[in-house]
Formats: sequence, C-alpha cells, structure tokens
Amino acid sequence: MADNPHPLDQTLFAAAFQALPHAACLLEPMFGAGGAISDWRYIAANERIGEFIGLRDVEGQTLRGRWPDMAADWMGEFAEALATGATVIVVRPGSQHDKVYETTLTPLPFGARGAVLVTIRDASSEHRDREKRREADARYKLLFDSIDEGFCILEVVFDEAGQGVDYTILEANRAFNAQTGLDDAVGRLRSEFRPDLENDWPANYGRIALSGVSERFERYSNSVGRWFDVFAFPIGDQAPYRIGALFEDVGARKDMEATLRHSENRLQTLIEASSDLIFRMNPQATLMEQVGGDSLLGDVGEESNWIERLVLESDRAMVQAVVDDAIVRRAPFQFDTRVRTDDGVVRWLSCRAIPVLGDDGAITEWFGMATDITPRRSAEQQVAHGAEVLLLATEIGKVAVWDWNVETGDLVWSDEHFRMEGYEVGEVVPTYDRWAERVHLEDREACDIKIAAAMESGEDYVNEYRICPPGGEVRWVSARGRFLYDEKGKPVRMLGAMIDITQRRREEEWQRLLVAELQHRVRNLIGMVRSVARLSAPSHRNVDEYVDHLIGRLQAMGRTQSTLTRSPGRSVDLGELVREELVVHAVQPDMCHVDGPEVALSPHAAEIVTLAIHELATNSVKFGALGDSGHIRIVWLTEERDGKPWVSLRWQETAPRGKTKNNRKGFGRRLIEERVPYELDGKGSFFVHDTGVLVQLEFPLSDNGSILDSRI
Amino acid sequence: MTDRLLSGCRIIILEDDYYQAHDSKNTLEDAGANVISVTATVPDLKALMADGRIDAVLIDINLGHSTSFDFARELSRNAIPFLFLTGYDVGMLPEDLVGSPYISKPADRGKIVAGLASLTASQT
Repeated sequence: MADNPHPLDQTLFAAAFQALPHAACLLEPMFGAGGAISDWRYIAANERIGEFIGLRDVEGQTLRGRWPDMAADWMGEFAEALATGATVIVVRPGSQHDKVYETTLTPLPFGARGAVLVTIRDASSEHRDREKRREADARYKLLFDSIDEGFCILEVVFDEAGQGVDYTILEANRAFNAQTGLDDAVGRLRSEFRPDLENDWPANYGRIALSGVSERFERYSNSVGRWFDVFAFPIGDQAPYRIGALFEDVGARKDMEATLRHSENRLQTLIEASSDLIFRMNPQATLMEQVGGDSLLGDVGEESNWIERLVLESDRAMVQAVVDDAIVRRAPFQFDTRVRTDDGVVRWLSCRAIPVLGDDGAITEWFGMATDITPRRSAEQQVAHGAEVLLLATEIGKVAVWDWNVETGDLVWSDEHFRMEGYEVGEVVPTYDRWAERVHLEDREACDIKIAAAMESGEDYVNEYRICPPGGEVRWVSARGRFLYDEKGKPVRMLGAMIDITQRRREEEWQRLLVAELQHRVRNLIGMVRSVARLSAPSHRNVDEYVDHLIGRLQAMGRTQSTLTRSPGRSVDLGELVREELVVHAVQPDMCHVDGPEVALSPHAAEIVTLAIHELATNSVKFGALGDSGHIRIVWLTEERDGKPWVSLRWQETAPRGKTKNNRKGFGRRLIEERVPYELDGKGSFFVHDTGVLVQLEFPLSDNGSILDSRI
Repeated sequence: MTDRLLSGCRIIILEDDYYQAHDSKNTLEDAGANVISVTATVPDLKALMADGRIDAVLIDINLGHSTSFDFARELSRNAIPFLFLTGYDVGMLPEDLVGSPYISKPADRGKIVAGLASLTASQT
C-alpha cells in the first residue's frame, strides 16, 4: 500500500494488536464509482484470527475476494458501524456446524477513510445456555397457564408492626384471572386493583411469609362472591417476602355440600318421624341395628340376632330361607312375619331390605324397614272369616254364587254352582260359555238379553230359566246379579246368586192346573147336570118321581166326585165301587154275588160305572130282582184285546117271576149302550129277559183321566 | 128353537162328554143344522172333507187325555171356521189360538147357535 510508509507489523501498536486475546482484524473501506463503499480491504489480522477461522496472509485481500459467499451479508453492518461510529455486535452461526460467533465491529475514525476493527469470539456455549433457559421458561409458562388452579406469586407489604397489610401480584396464570375475575392484577398493589378485598387476606399471607410455614384454608370472599380453597406457601425466607398461592373456586362443591347436608337432615327427620322401623344389618343379615323410626320391637338399638330373638318359632324357617336366598342373589328381600315384641305381644311385621354393595360387588351391609301390618292383617283375617261364613251360609242355603270378571272373562263358581249345573265341584273351569251351554235352548236368548240389559242399565239382573244338565232332570233356577263398574262406568265385574226353584215351579204349575181343572170340572158338572136333568125328563109323568130319579142320579155322581176328591189322581178299585153302590141301595149281601179280580179304574171310567150300577140297582129295585126275592150276580174279568187290557163286567138278574117288560130306552140303558162306547171306547149291551136284565159292559182300561190325572 | 139359523149347515161336533155332545147335537139340529159327525176323539178331517163340505166345527178343548188345539190348527189351515166350547178358562188358549171364537161352559143353547151362525155367515 502506497499510503502506508510503515508496515504495521513493525510498530508497537502492531505488537499490541498481535497480542490481543481475541481474534481480531482490521479492514478499511474501498470506494467505487460514485463514492459508495464497494468492498473492504484487509489491513491486518492477528495470529489469533488465523487460528480461529484460518484467516492468514490477508494483505492485499478484500472481504469479497476472501469470502465470496458471505461478504454480502456483512456489507451492511460494516457500513453501519463506520457511518454511526457505534460498535455493532453481530451473533451469527459460523460456517462450521454448531458454532455461534459473536462478532464485534468497532469503527476506528482514523485518516480520511477510517477503518473497522473486527473481533470475533466463540459464543456457542453461551448461546446454547440461553436457548435452554428460554425453552424452560416457555415450558414453565405453559404449565403455569395450563393448570386448573389459579396460581399467583405475590410480594407481601408489611406495616411497622410486622403485619401484612397489602401485597403486589408479581405473576399470575390464566386460571387465576378466570377464578378471581382479576384481569390486570399483575404488577399492581392489591389496594389498587381490589381496595374492597377483606383485610385478612394480606394478614394471612403476611403470617405465612413470616412463619415460613405453608397453610391451606377455605375462605369465602364477599367482595368476589366466591368460595376459595387456597394453598399458600412462602418463597424464600427473607425480604422481600414472597408467597406462592394456589386458588381453587370451590363454589360448586360448597353448594353441593350444602344441598347434601340439607337433604341428609331431611332424610334423618323423615326416618325419625317414620312409623316404620328403619334398620341396618351386617352382610350376613344376622345382626340387626335400628337406625331410626318407630321402636316397634322395643329396644333393638344395639346389634342383635333378630331372627332368633324376635321372629316366632313357626315363621323362622321361612324367614331364614328368604334371607339366605337374598344373600346369595345379592338382591332385595321382602316378607311378612309374626314377631314377639319385648312386652310379649305378637305382631305382624312386613320387612323389606336392600343390600348395599361394595366396589367388589360384595354385600357390605343391608338397609331396610319394617312396617307394623297387624291392623291390616287382622282386617284381612276378618274379611276372610266373613267370606268363609258367607260361603258356608250359601252352601247351607243351597245358594249358588258366581263372580264374573267381565274384563278378563274369569268366572268363579261356588261349590253349589257346580252342582246346580250338574258338575262335580271343580270338574270344569267355569266360563260364560260353560254356563250358557247348560241353559235350556229356549231360554238361552232371553238370558243373554237380560244380562246385556242389566250390564247396560246398571239395574239388577233378575231372571228365571231352566238348566239342562246332560242326562239329568231339567231344573228351574232363579238368578239375581249385579254389575260393578269402574270410575269410567265400564262394567268390570258381575256378582250374583242363584237358587233352585224347580219345586216351587212345579207347585205353581200344579196349582195352576188344579185351578184350571177345578173350573173345568165344575163347569162340566153343571153341563152334565143340565143334560142329565133334560134326559131324565121324558120318562116321567110325575114330578115327584122325576125329582127322586134326578136326585138319585146326582147323588151317584156326587159319590164318584167325593171318591175322586178323596184321592185325587188315584185310581178307584172296581170291586170297592160296586159294593159301595149296592150298599147305598140297601142290597142285602145274600141277594147278590159280587166277584172279580182287582181292577183299577180311571176316574172317568169310575164315574160312568158308578152311574151305571146306580141305574141298574134303581131299576132292579123298582122292576126286577131286588124288588122281589130274586138274586143278582155281578162278575167281571180282565183280558187282553189287541195288546190292551180290557175289563168285562156282567150284571145278571134272576127273578122268580117276570115283571113288566121295559124295553123303553131310558136313561140307564142309554148310558150303557151309548155313553160307554162314546166316552170309554168300549161296548155296552142291555137285554131284558123273562128272568131279568142281563147287562154287559166292556171297555179298555186306558189311562183315560183328565189332564190333571195324567200329571205327575 | 124355531129360528133355523143354521139351516143346511154341515157341522161337526168334537166333544168327549156324551151328554154334552148329545145336547149340542140336539141343539144344532133344532136350529136346522146337519150334524155330520159327533166324536169324542179327533176325527180324520181329510176323510170328512172328502165326504162333503164342512161349514163349521164345535170343539171342546179337553178331550180327556189330550187337547184339541192341534185339530183347531188343522181346521185353520183348511179355512174351516170353528168355535171352542169349553169348561176351561180363556187363559188356557195357546198363543197362536188366542182370539179364536170361544164360548164357556155351561153355555146357553142360543149362544152356541148364534156363535156358529155368525161363523158360517161370515163364511158366505
């Protein structure tokens, strides 16, 4: 360089430059066209820089020439240092891996151009430490902000007496802001951002800071309106006194606790007020302890083996079985049992208990309650007893009872109902159809209509109908029933009772027939009397004689009537009838011969035969054998004609001398010759011989009675 | 009985009582009727109809061991008018015969004749 008459390395300054502990070099600017710096020329470089970055023998070299890749990066800083006259420090990674260099550019105002002293220092380790610290800080901040609990670091301000009176928030995380509602507290005094906060907060922090002992406390802040769970710990043990505080908003938990406490109180009140006995038992359910409620069992306060102590001997096995089963199934149990209380009274208890299961599913204990159901039980027993008595009464009274569930169709019959329908008790399952199929075909429709009408109207069902048990006698029954309805008016049940009125029906029918028959007979009789009176008239010129005859005939008819009335519906013996009629006409036994087998005559036949004998006897007294010392032979026999029994009666008179022949067809003769064939379907003949009358009466012994006679 | 109300009428009598039948026969004949049959049991109607016209039938309800209701129904089917003459009450009549002409025993002879006359009159 023509401008440097003294080479640098020959001066003291050059020696000092060479001795610098740092790697150093000197550069001067080179100006291009227009006066701008175009490059930098090396003036000198000490040995240290040669070791450091291999920069040796720099004379005549330029920055661009030496570092063609990197020179452009540095041009700006060099120019800045020269222009401003201030030192520029640049930290940059070196060309070598993981090396960071701190390069200091110091401007040297020397000569017209000036120069820049460059010193280079290896800053790799410092740089790494700083990086690590920055990462740790970032992690700490992240953690700090991510915890749910509010956290702050504060510095306590004391008064002269050493009492904490205020504090400054130094740091706070996001949760702190959220929980306290203090957004801009950091770096400020509490008295500034929250002047209304209770004074015991700084007092507490002061105490903790001075004592060096961390504390945990729950505190309600009126000014914030929240419950806090606070853990405060001292940081360091001398001034400035700092405190770390963890906050948790426990409002929700506090509310829950309050609700729970309230609910527990209520439950306890309920248990105490309960008329039931509340108890707990061990997992084996052997020991019982009363926890509340009524002392139904006397003193069961302490744990006691309740089954043996309380349950009646007869119920113990059942209770034990129920409990054992529930233990195996780990399921609730329930039973009713009789217990003997301390005062010796037997009571009915209804017990229920549920198992409390632990995390492993095993029973940890039982909770349950027992209710005194003695009144209910005795009421039930009374009802059952009443029902039993009622049922017995219906059985004795031969009343058939039914209970029909209209909704389900279930039908219950009493024993008598089964019997009345012709079933063995319990032989069939009763249903509406089972009942209906036994109802007489002619009555079935009327029954259905009456039941439907009763169901519709709510009026009692009243009905009389016939039941036809297969192979049995038709029975008349009288039934009454009533429908029961639910609150919507829907029929749900029908209760009813039924009695057998067959006998009553028969008697009524019998009575009706009797009346009708009586009417018929009386009217017929009058009609017959009229006919008899008319028929008697022609044969008599003399009124007295006519009256005698008429009265005689009416008396004969009267005798038959009285015989028939004496034994209504019974037959009359022919022999008895004949002898009685002869006695009436005072026929002496030696004048007649009566002989024949026993023959039962129908009332109708008896009436005609009586009248016939009367006529014959009257005539005989007047004209024939009986009026003289003659003899009468009355004989009869029975025989079968065309498969029907017939009776054949002969009246034969024998008189010593012939009397006036009477061939006129009188009343008696017509009776025999006309009425017998007409009414009895038989034959009658009447002959008048010299020796007397010979009469032959023949007719079938049919059941030719009235409707009344043929009945029953 | 000079009023020959039933003159020329052919009439059947069904009556189980001999005296009543005899009486009725006389009564009707006195009124000019031609009584073509008097019977105590239900007669064979077809045979009687084959023999000639039947103007009316006088019927007793009680035929001893049976009633004459079926015979009355048979007469109805053949459009032959009939008159019940009976000792029974009117209540004895079965439902389908309620309203049939009916005279209660003991009956006045004139009443029987008049009853039958009105039947035969309404026929012609």
